[in-house]
Amino acid sequence: METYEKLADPVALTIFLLTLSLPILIGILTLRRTRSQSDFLIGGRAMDKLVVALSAVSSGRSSWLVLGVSGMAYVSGVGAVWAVAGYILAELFQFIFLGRPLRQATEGYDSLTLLDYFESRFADRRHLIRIIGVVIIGIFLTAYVAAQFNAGAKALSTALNVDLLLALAISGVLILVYMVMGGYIAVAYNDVVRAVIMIIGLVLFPIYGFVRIGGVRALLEVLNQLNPALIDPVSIGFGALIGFLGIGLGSPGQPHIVVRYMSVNDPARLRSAAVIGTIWNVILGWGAVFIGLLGRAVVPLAENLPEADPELVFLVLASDYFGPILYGLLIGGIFAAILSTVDSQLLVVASTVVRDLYEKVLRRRGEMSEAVKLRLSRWVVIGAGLVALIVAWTAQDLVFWLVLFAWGGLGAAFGPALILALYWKRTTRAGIAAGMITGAVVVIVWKQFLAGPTGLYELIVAFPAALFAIVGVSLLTRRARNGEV
Amino acid sequence: MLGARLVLFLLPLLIIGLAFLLYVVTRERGKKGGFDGDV
Repeated sequence: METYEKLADPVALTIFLLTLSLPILIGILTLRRTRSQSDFLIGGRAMDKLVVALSAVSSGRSSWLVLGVSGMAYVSGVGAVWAVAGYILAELFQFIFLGRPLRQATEGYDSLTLLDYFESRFADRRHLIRIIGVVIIGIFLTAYVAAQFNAGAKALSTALNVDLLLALAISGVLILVYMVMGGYIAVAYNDVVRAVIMIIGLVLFPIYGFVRIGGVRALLEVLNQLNPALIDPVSIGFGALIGFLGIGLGSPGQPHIVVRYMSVNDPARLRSAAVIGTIWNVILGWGAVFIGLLGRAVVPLAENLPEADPELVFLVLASDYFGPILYGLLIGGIFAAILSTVDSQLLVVASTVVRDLYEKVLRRRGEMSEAVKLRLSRWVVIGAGLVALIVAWTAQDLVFWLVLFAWGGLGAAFGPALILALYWKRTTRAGIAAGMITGAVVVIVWKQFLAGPTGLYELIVAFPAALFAIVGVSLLTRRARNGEV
Repeated sequence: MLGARLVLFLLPLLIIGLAFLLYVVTRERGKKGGFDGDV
C-alpha cells in the first residue's frame, strides 16, 4: 500500500492542509504581543503555566514519539514503556527542581538564554562558557533542526507527491512566517495547539483500537501468541532497559526545553505545570506505545508494512481505522510533532547567534535599542532557518550523522552543568567549561566506538563523566563568582 | 500478562501520582528563593 494513499481524499487533504497552515494564523494573532527581544526569545517571562507545560512537553517530543516510540513498541512489545517512562520522570523533576530555581535566577540576572545565565552566574567576563556553549549548540542543534527539516520534508514530499526541494521550501516557509511574526509566543501557542492535536490522535487511536480488537486482554493474548516476549516488560534485557530509561538523562540539557521554564510568568506555577505536563506526557507516551502494540497485533509481520518500516505502523493504522477528517488531522498531527520541535530548536539557534554570539561577544559598541534588537532577532531567525534548510538539502549525510549525537551531546554538555550551577555553590567557571566539553566529547567517542561493544547507551556514561569533570575541576580551581575571579 | 498490565496501566498512574505528590510536598518551598544556587 502507499504510505499516504488516503490523502487523495479531498476532505482528508483539506483537513491536512488546514492543520499545516494553522500556525500562520497563530503567528498573526501573537504579532502584537511581541514588542521586545525578551518577548521574542522567552515570551517576556509572561507565559501562562498551561502554555509552558504543554509547550515544554510538545517541543521535547518531535516525530520520535509518534513514529519512533510506536515503532519501538511494534518491535519490542510492552518493554517500550521504559523509553517513555525515563524522560517523563526526568521532566517531572525538571519542572520543579530545575525550572523553578532557573526561572528565578534568570530573572535576577536578566538572562534571556541558557548561556546568558551561565555567564552571569560565573561572572565569566572572558565569555569562555558562552563560546563553548555557542559551538556545542551551533553544531548539535543546527544538525537537529536540519535533520528534522529533512525528515519532515521527505514525509511531506511523499504525502503531497511533490519534489523534495519543494517540500523543504514549504516546510521552511510554514515555520519561518509565524516565527518571524510572533517569535517565542507564537511558537509556544503553536505547541499548545499541536499538543492538543497529538493527544486527540494518541487517545482516540488506542481507544478505537481496543474496541476493534476486543479489549486489552484480547490484545495481550494476540501478542502472546505471536511472541511471549512482546508482553514481557523486561524481555528487552537489562542493558536495553537502562538505556531506555537513560534517554531521560538528556532532557535537562536540551536548551529548547529548558528555555520553556524561563518563560513562565511566576516560578511557583511550575509546580502545577509539572502536574499538567506529566499527565500530558503520560497520555502521549503510553498512547504511542499502545498504537505500536495494536499495530503489531493487526499487522504481525513488518514486511507487510510500507517499506517494511515498523515506524510507519502509525500511518497504516490511521488509514485503516479512521475516516478522511480524522485521518487528515492525524497526519497533520505528525507534521505538527515534527514542526513543534523544529521551531523551538530554531529559536534557540537564533537566540544563540543574535544574543550569545553577536550581542555579547562580537559587538563592542554601545547598547542597541529594543526595536533594533527585535528587528535583528527576526532577521537572524530567517537567516538561521535558511542555513538549516540549505544544510538539510546539501549535507544530508553529515546532518544525519551529527543528529545521532544531538540528544546525548546536548544532554551531557548542558544537563550536569545546569544542575550543578543551580545546586552546588562551589561550582566554578572552569568546572562548567570542562563539564560541557567532557559531556559532548564522551557522547561522540562512546557512541562512535564503545556503545556497540559495551551495549551501554552513551548518556549513561557521558552524564556522570560530565558531572565528575565539573566537580573535579571546580575543586581544583578558584571560585569565580559575583565578580571575584 | 500481569507484568504487561502493570507497566501498561499501573506505572502511568504511579507517575501521575508522583507528580501530584511532588506538587503537594513542594508547596511551602514554592515561595523560597532559588537565586544564586540557594534552593
